[in-house]
Amino acid sequence: MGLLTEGTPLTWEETKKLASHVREHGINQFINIYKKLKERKGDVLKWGDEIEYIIVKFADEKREAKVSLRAIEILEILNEREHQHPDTVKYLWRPEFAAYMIEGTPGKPYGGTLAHFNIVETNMKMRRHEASEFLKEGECLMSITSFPRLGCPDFTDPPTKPTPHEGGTMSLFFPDQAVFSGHPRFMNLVRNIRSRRGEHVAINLPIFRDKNTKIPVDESHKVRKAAKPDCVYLDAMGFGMGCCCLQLTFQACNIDEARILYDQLTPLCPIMLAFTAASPVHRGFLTDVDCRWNVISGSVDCRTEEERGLKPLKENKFVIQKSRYDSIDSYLSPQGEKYNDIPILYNDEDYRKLRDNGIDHLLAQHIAHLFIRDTVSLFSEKINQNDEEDTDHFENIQSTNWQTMRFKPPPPHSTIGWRVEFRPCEVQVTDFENAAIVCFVVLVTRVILSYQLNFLIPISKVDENMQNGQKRNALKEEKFWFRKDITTHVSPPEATRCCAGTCCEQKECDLVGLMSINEIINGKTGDFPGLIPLINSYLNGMDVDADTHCTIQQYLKFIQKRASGEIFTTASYIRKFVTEHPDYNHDSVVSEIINYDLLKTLKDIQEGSKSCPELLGYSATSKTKENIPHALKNDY
Amino acid sequence: MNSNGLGIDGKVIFSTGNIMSIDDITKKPSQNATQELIEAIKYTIKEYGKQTDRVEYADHSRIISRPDDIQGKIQENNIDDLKIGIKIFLTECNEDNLKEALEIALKQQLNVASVADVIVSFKKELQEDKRDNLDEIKRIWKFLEGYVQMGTVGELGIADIEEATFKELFEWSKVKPSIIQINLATCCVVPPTLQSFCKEKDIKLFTHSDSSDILPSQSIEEIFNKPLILQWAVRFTVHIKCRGVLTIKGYCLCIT
Repeated sequence: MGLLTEGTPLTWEETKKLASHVREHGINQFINIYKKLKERKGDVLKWGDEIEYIIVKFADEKREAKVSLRAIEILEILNEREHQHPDTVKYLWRPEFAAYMIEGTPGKPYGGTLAHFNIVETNMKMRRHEASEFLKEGECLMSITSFPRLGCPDFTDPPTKPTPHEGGTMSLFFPDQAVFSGHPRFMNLVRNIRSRRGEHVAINLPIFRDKNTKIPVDESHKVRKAAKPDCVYLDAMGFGMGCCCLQLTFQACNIDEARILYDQLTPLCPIMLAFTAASPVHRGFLTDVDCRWNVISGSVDCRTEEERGLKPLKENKFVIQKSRYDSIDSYLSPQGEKYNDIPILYNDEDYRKLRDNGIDHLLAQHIAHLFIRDTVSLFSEKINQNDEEDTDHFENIQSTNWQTMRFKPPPPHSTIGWRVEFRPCEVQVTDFENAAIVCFVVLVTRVILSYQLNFLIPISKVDENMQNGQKRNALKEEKFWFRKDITTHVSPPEATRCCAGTCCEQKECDLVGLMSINEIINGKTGDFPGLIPLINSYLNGMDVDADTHCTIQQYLKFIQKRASGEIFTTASYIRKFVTEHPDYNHDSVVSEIINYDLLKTLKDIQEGSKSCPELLGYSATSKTKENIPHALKNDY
Repeated sequence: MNSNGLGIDGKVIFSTGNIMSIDDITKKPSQNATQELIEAIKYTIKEYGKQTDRVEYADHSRIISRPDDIQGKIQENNIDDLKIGIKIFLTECNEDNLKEALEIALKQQLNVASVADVIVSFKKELQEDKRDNLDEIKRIWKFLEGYVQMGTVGELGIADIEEATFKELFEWSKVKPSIIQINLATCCVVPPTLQSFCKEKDIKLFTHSDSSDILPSQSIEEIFNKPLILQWAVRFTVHIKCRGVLTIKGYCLCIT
């Protein structure tokens, strides 16, 4: 979830007073990083995945499944190992927002040779295995995006009770004990986001209307004015930040390539969100959305009523269109500039200062825009900083702008270069699926750079796709704005016509079209090449070892099938499971027993003891290995 | 005179240039090299037709090429950061063809002093009982070894060779093969004996998606309206080390 600084958290009143201090110094710190590292180049491709897990506790005799609040105990053991062998550990474990979550990453990043694709899945498997060693009887580490009955009565183990009138969360549903207590940052964020906003966060998810679905959904609307009767109402940060996702970070060879990757991957965010959709059930109800994105977005929406445009501006400076967790607002590369078609807010003095220090318009605007958000988490030990050396204030704001993409400058005094983080994907049940998605996205980045492809479309169209991509069954039913011609080399005759001034304009307005995810990924003969055919063509020009190529083929086949709708998305699979369950009363309610059976089934699929061709296809196995063959070790 | 207006008599060398920057080819990603090569030749002929300064050599052989970005692409990077590889498709075991193929690719097309590796592929007749001809392979291999000794080529590899032949070649050769290339279709079912041999000898077991006959005679006839003969073909690829970026890919071929 971003940077975790140790220390004593300040109250909201104290934090609020220091907001401009953090902004001023955070911007200074970025300027210093930029000046030192803008020329950094020659970095190779390194990349890594991040997977979040939920610890689920099964009570077989009662047919119940709960979230187990033991992340803190498990992390203590895992982090002790890391502490003792910092250079040799194969996996790194970090706390996450919820007391039932942990986050795992590979111990070292993967490298630029294709053979690395063959060790990803094994690393994921062994990672899961390592953390699972410390589980108790009945517990299971599950990579599920949302726990279906999160916020239902007694959803935790040990049992806890929400405290609507006291404590940090003050939720009708989500108890404070379900927030990770091992670090003060998390509860501090909960309090400060609610305090800044001036009221509870409020998420209203339209319910999936089945024939016996009751409206109003429950009594929430009687207690809270923000609750809509025909929606599943959620009122706590934990409903969002208590979800799991699959993220990827790439190192670019220099700042310019980082900008290109940041921009080019942006239009793919909604596509990959819809592709990985895995969270149709919230607080025990089937909803009409398939993804977690808007839930998290709402769960950390710290904007005041003024900033949300509900009251005239008095205390605040801007009406802000989006939550601090949302899709990006602007492209960073020169070729992206003309597609920045939504308003980008920033404080003029911040922008000016960045510009005066030699930062170009696009990057200055991006950084200044991040800093329209106040700090919502500050520690007394970190207030006064040396802007030449420290970066905490910059990271403070950067790491609480949770957007679809993140542009990451090199950490000072490190061997790490400019990086880009890809953040939209929902996490899948099996390591096979997660490895396939991760490898697919990395391959797409290589294809973009190799063929110099251009996926850019106006940012407003990306935002539209983000909303459509979360709808029920979006992968199959929705169409998405996508760039029709993704090639960039202007052939001589075309250039001649352009000079005559006839074709360019027309080409611009005819730039984007509506496509299905199947067309985007698998291609449409004569119209669009498709990402997978491009990847295959790229691979034909590369040196790929047999095992790795076999593995990649299995991954790509899986991606092809899911994109074409031949196999289910995780969300569709969960929907089908719930609605066909004998205990389901066609009332959108996911009962304790349905929840138990669903999770038990997902556990069997995850462990491979149950085959599930409707979710994975028939060949969900690969040649993944622990290590790269010796002959390829010194390769390029 | 054929429909392409090329009037091919005698020997013609085609050089497609960097096909990574031909949008028409990117837009139609091919599953195999033959399709890709056919598209590249057609595109090269089309572009060549627009040129005015055509080169003809004293022996009436010609080079049909098109303006492209290979030199620029190579110069964008430090040469040490590039991995340049070549695959030669021989239709018959002829050292002169091999020499010509390598020289055209290295000197005329890429303009580099050396390449990281050369993989050789022998056209297989489609008869069931056609076996590898070890003597012919050895003859060609010996010739290739000379390039390694001169420092023009870093490593040698061979494609679609039977396991037993490969092992014999390995034992016999002075410059041992570092690469064996197998068809992508078989990459999930590599014989364990071959796997372990490669592991033991530190040989790279790579895949390809080239058909055994890179440019079948009926394709040649379709393109040129004439029953011409492919003497050799070369594919060159350049990628940026440790970044997984393929920056150049193209073909040279000789037709008579």
